[in-house]
This record gives sequence, C-alpha cells and structure tokens, in this order.
Amino acid sequence: MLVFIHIAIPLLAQGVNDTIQLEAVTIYGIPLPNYAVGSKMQEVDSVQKMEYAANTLAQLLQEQTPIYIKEYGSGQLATISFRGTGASHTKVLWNGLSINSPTLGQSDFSTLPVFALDNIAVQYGGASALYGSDALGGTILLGNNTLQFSRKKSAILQQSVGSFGKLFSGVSAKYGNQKAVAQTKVYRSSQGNSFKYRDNQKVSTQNHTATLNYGLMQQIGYKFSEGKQLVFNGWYAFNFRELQPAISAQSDDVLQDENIRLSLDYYSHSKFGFFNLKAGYVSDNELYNESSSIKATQFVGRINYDKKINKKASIKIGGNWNTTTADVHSYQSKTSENSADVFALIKYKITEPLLLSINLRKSFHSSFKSLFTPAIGISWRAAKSIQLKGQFSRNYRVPTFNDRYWVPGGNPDLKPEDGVSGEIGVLYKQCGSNWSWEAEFTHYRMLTNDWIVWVPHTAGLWLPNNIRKVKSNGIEVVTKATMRFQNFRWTLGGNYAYTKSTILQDERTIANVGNQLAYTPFHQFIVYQKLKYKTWRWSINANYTGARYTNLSNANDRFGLLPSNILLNASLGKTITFKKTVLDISFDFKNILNTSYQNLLNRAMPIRNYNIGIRYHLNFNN
Amino acid sequence: MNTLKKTVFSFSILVLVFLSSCNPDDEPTAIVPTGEYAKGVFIVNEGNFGASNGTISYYNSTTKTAVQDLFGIANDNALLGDVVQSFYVDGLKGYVVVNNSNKLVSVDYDTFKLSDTLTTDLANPRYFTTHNGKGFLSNWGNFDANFRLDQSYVAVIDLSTLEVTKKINTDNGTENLLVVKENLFASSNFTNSIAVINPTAETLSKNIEVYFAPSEMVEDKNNKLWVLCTGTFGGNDGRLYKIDPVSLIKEDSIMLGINPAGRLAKNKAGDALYIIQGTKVYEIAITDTALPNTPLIENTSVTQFYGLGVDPETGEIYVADGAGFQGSGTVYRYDSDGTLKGDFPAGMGPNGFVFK
Repeated sequence: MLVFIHIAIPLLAQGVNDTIQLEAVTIYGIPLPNYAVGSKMQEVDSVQKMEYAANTLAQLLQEQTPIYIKEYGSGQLATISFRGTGASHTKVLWNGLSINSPTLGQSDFSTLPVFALDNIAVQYGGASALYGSDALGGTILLGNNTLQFSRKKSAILQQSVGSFGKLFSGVSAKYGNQKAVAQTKVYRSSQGNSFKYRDNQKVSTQNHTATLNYGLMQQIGYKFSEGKQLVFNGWYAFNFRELQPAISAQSDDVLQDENIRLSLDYYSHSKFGFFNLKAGYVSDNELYNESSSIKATQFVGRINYDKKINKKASIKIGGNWNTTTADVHSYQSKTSENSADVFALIKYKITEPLLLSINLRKSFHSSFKSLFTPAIGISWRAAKSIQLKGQFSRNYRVPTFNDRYWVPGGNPDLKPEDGVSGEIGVLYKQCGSNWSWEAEFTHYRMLTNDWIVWVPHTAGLWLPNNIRKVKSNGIEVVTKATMRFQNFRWTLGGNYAYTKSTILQDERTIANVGNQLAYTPFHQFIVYQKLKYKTWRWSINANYTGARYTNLSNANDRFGLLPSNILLNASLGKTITFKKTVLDISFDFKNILNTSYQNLLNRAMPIRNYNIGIRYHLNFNN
Repeated sequence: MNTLKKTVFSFSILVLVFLSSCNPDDEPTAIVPTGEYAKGVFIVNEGNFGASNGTISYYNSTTKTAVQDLFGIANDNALLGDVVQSFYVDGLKGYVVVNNSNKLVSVDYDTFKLSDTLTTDLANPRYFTTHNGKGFLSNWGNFDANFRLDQSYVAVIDLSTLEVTKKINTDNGTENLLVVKENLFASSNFTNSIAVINPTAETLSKNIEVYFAPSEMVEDKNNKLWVLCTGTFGGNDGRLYKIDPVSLIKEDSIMLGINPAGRLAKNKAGDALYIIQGTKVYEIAITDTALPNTPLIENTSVTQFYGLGVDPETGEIYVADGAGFQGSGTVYRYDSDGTLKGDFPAGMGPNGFVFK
C-alpha cells in the first residue's frame, strides 16, 4: 500500500560525498531534477556543509565548484556566473520557490548562509522546462530536509571565530512526535569593518566592509494520516552591510536587505498517485542608505500530480501561478505582473539501461507572448561502469522589472531572452572492495538570443535592449578516487572547466563581436584531497582560476585582465563523541599562499586568514 | 624717432631680461616642460563606477601613437582612482579630479609623476580650473539617503599647499568651470542656473537662470560665454545660451531640438561650436539661429560619442566613443570639415581631452 520512494537524490550525484554516506530520505513523489535525465548534478555532502557551516554559499560554490562568483569584496555582494552566463541566468530555488530578486533578476550568494541550508545541489545547464524563467546557465537547488516524523530530538550548536572580526553563531533544533515535527534554526554572522589585503606588493587594510546577517528558519510538519501531510517552511533573513569601496575609492554607503520566504505544502498520496499543493510567499525589502527604496513581493501557487504509470513510465503534470508586485522608488508606480505555467514531465525506461525524459512547459505571462520550452534527455548505461547521456533544451529568461520599469530607461518593449542548449556526457564509475574511482566528462553548447544589455541612447539616457547573441560552449571534467585501508580513508579529486562564452552578434558594439564575456575564465580547476583517520580529518583544496577579462574589449592590460590565481585552503578537524553528544572542532586555513587576488576588478579580497569552529551535536533519543 | 629708439631700447632690455631668465640657475617658473608628455593630447578616461580603473591616456599627434594609463606607468602601477572626471593643466602642473575617490591629484604633467594629493574638504569633486595662482574645484556635495544633494560648492584651493581655503556654496550639481573676463562661471547641472563667482573676492556674485542641466561652457572669439544645456530626459529640448561675461546679459538662446551630451567645444577660429549626440557631431556657427539639420559627422560604427575636444592649433576634432562602458573606448580624429583622419585606442569611458 505504501509507495514511498527511497532514493538518494540526486541520481547522478557526483559531489565529493565521501566520508559520510547520504541518508536515504523518504520523499513524496519524484523530485523535479530526476526528470532531467542526462543532466549533470552536483550535491554538496554533509561533511562539506559542516566544513562550510560558518560560511556563505558564495564561498562554498567558489571553492568547490567550477562556477565563477563575482564578489564585490569579502562578505560583499556576490553574484554568479555559471557556464559563461550572466548573474541573472542562474535560477535559485529555496524549497521550490524562486528567490532571485524579481526587480534585479539575480541572487546575492553572500546572504545565503550554508548553516541555514539542509540541502544544496547544483544542476548544470539549461532547465527552463523544469523551472521556467532564468534557468539558462544552471540552477541552484536549496532547501530543507524532508521531515521524519518521530520523537527523536536533536540540537546543534555552532560557534566560529575567525580573522578580521568574523563571528558566526548558529543553533538548530529538531523536535516533535509521530504526528507533528519541527525544525528551528537561528543564526547570526558578522564581520568587522576592516581586513588585510595585498595590492601592488604591499599589505593594506580595507575599511568600510562590516557586515551583519541574522535569520530565523522554521519548519513544521503535520501528519494527518499515513501519506497525508502539511509542511510549512519559513525563513526570515536580515542582511546589513557597509558597501566596500573599490581599492582607492571611498564609500560611506550601506545596504540593508530583509527577506521573508514562506511556503506551505500539502502532500497526499494514494493509489491515484502523488499530489502536492503549494502556496508560497517571498518578500524582499531593500534599503539603500537607510532610505526605503526597493520592495518586491511574490505570491506563488502550484499544483503537482505524480503518477507512476507502470514499471517503465512515470509522469508529473502540474501548473504554477505567480503574481509579483514591485514598489520601487525609481518606478513610475507600484507595478504588478502575473504569470502562469503548465507542465508535463515524462520519464520513460525504454529498456533497463536506457532512460528517456521528455519535459514540456508552456509559460504564460501578462506582459509577454506565451513560451513553449521543451527538453529531452537520454541516458544509457552502455556497460556496467559506463553511462552515456545527453540533453537538449530550450530555455528563456523574462526581462526583470528593472529592465522594463526603471525610470529613466526601463524598456517595456523588451523580449525575453531565448536560448537553446545541448550537452553530452560520459560517466565512468568503478569500484573495488576498498577503493572506488569515478569520472565524468561533459561537453555543452549553448546559444542565447536577444541577450539584454543596457546601452546608452541619447545624452545620459541608458536603455536595455535585446541586442546581443551569445554562444557558450565548454568542457567539464570531474574525477574522484577513494581508497580505504585500516582506519584511513583517502579521497583525491579534481574538477576542471573550460568555458568559452563569446559574443556572436552585437547590434551596438561591433568591435566586441567574437570576444569572450567579462569575468568568464577560460580555465578553472580544483584539486582536493581529504584524509580521514579515525576521528580526525584533514583536507586541502587548491583552486585555480584562469585569467579573465574584466570587460568586453579583451585587452591584456592591468585593468582589462585579472591574472590567474591559485587559492589554497585547508581544514583540520576532530570529532569527539560522548554518549549522545558529538563535539566537533575544526580549524580552517584560508588563502594559505597569501595570494593577492580579486574576483572583480579592484575589489580587495583578504590575505591569509583563519577560522576556528566548534560544533556541538546533541541527540535526545527516547 | 626718439620715441621709437626708446621703445626699441626698452624692448631689447625686456628681451634680455626674458632671455636671461631662461638660464637654468634662475627662477624655476620659467622651466619649460621637457618630459615625455610635454606636447600632445591627454584623454580623460572615467573608468567604470566602482572599479577604480579611471586613467589618463596620452596621444602624440606627431608620431600618431597612444600611451595608456600614464599615472600607473609613472608611479609604480599606483591607481589613479575611481571615476576620473576631469584633467586640467596649469603651467607644469596637471590636476586630475577623481570623483568617487573624492580627491584631487596633482602631477608634473609632462612626466605624470605624482606631486601631491588633496583628499580633505571634497565631496564628489567634478571640474578644476585656476585663476591668478588659485585653484577652483566644483563639488556636487554628498547625496543623502533620498539621493538628494546636501550642498554643492566651489572649493577655493591654495595651489602651493594644495589645501581648501574656502567653500563657495552654489546650486545643485555644480559642474563645469570657466573664467572669462575676470568672472568665474560655474554651471549647476541639476538645476537651470549658472553661478557667477568673483575669483578674487571668492564670493558668489549672481546666479544666471538658463535652461535645464547646464553643462560645458566655452568662450568664443568675441569673448562671449556659451553655455550648453542638455535639457530634460527625452525632451529633445537642449539649448545653447550666449552670455556677455561682463554685463551677464543673455544675448542669445538657441533651441537645439535634440538632447545633446553635455560636451561643448569651439573650432580653431572660435566662431563655431561643436556638440555631440549619439553617433553624431553637429557644428553650429556662433551666428546661427538653429542647429543644422545634417550633422557634420556621423559615425554609425560607434556605440556612442562621449568625449569631445578640438586641437586649438590644428582645429582637428577629437571625438571619443565610450563603447557603452562595456569595453575600452576609441578616439576618432576628424578634420574641421568632418573628414575622418584616423583613430586610436583610449581607456574605459573617455569623456574629454586636454591639448598641450
């Protein structure tokens, strides 16, 4: 009767989940990424999440994935560049809700603390058929664990202290019974208003860079009966920062953001299938220099129905409705828009080793013509240890509110950006009794039309226009080997990305045609080793970021090109267990080589720095 | 005859005195610039806001070569700063106004070696000029929480110590500065007024009402002041004003029918003005009553003209393509009849020229 599906998500996880096996979780229905047959996934494992518990998602993604994070300084605005795309070409979902700012169209990864996130997964490539607008370069999937209805109670206390006045405190607790369960998380992190950086061979102190972030996250689950439950997820986040000026510039500007994200899900399963009804609310309120300026709210309603038709086929159909309202000082008036989507996702097992998925989505929007975004994916286990896969999709991005309503400049005639992407990959995995080795090779190609750029028109007036066509293609290689002998467990891994993202057409600046996009390094690689001996762990991570242009001229001068850099980080940890409690102590060494580097031109980044963390895990099982 | 002899005699003495002052043992005031950049064209490159990549480029019009990032080359790769707004040369000293770094940097203009830096008493500095040994620097002032300016002013600067000695309050967004006939004119870009300052008394004498967004100013061959107002956003209502610098009477006003960029330059003879808009350069004679329908220059391969200047010796027109600040700019050189003579690369966001 019970048809819970037990799977370790995601199916093609290739993260560095070595020291602790992923828990098999009980979920209702098949999660969306599983319908993306042939797409590349990377999940952050629990050890990584523990190591980065006092850090932001910006730091984690930068050090652990070949994604380029554009950082305006330490703890400052951090936007993403995924597979050579722009900051608004990556969809960011929290418990299924899009948390990209509707006004600016992007997410600030420095305001997403790893501690607050139970699950962090990265889906590579275009996925508009699954997630709608913005999913061109990739999708970041964040969320809470599925609740386990039991009397088990546990708590985590985390305290970290680091260089340059860094502090992080977090408390998380799980409690409840077989009928109702809850998880509460509270965190606070701050950074002093100065840190040391190196520039032009001398060490200087960067001022006006203090930050303060705190938040409360609440998850409540209620089980009506077997298979029927209601789950609430809420997150209030407060982020304040002094805006770090460029080197040699001055700033006394401050920025404050408050975000409220709420979702309520009703799940039901029966012999008729899985059914999910979702209501969501996202509100962003940004204050620049203590003056109210940017407010946006989103209401989301969603309905999903999952059905395993037979042993070979499963289908998910559903609809999504969204209304977004923006109240921005620079808009003529308060502005609202509605959008709706319908989708059908089909996964079909042609033969045992051959899987196929066909995903179809039609999006309707109050300001644009409807869009049809199909995707097809295939995966074939060619041999016991070899899997071949491929994916092809159409993807899009709706222009942001700012693009259309900002006064002056906002252009209501903009079209959505429209692209196609395809990728092929090979996955190789071999295991012995005390070793395993895996490698994944991916090649992708992406073409984006009507790319939006703000360009000058008449005197002083800048307007966004659909003027650019961008071609991106690249190669990604991921490899990992694990060995075990006696009490040792050793992992060695590497992650390489080659990214070429060039302008194919530009109606306003012909001189830039053929050039690589700004802040898109051609080469990036990460090499890491992890050693675990009994309760000790030791990891080293070397991160190479190739030279990248800072603008579209692709000139090799000191302002046009940021030189390649290597960052070396290490972490030493020890776990002490007493009966029902676990004490974990870690020492992090960041930028060991004292590299002078910048992720954005003339934005100082810290020299060698340290972090000490203590994590206390209590279990009250009764 | 006698008078003539006397005159010739006194003149030769004068010449002797002048010649002897060229002796290296004498006063330093007469030292002629001998550095690499003594003669040529300086290009002001704003840079991207918040990227500290503003620079000054140099173009040698004889050898037709361009040098980028003069300040970095001359000063061990030091950064000039964030948003290099303007450059002014007085004698041997060059003064660079760095807007978002809130500083005035003085250099030996012919070598571009750093001389001194002024960082106090400035708030969003914009343009600089000198008169009778004193410096004047326009400042927008600071923006408050609601993006309103607190107080714009013109700072009076002691050039020997590079210190602000006085602030003369002006209307919002004080921008361009020009001395004509012992009056210092300051255009207040966020308003419709021009401040008239007595540079000796260091006081505001009067505000002249013009049209929206007064920006650059020039002095024509008849010593009249011309002010370019860019007008309202999208209103196609830019205007040119002709003002008598002594009586302060507005003698003429020309409706342009376009919103030009805030740049104004005069030709070699001083009897015609150039303005830029988009990919076009217009020429308007000082006797014209309207803007000609056809531009003197149209260059459809540029993104947008952003900087404008005229070589006072050759009359060549220099126009800079800002390339939408997405990549480094390009400078195009034209004959006064509009014939393209060549182009050379500039830095990020070239907004103006200084000819030496």
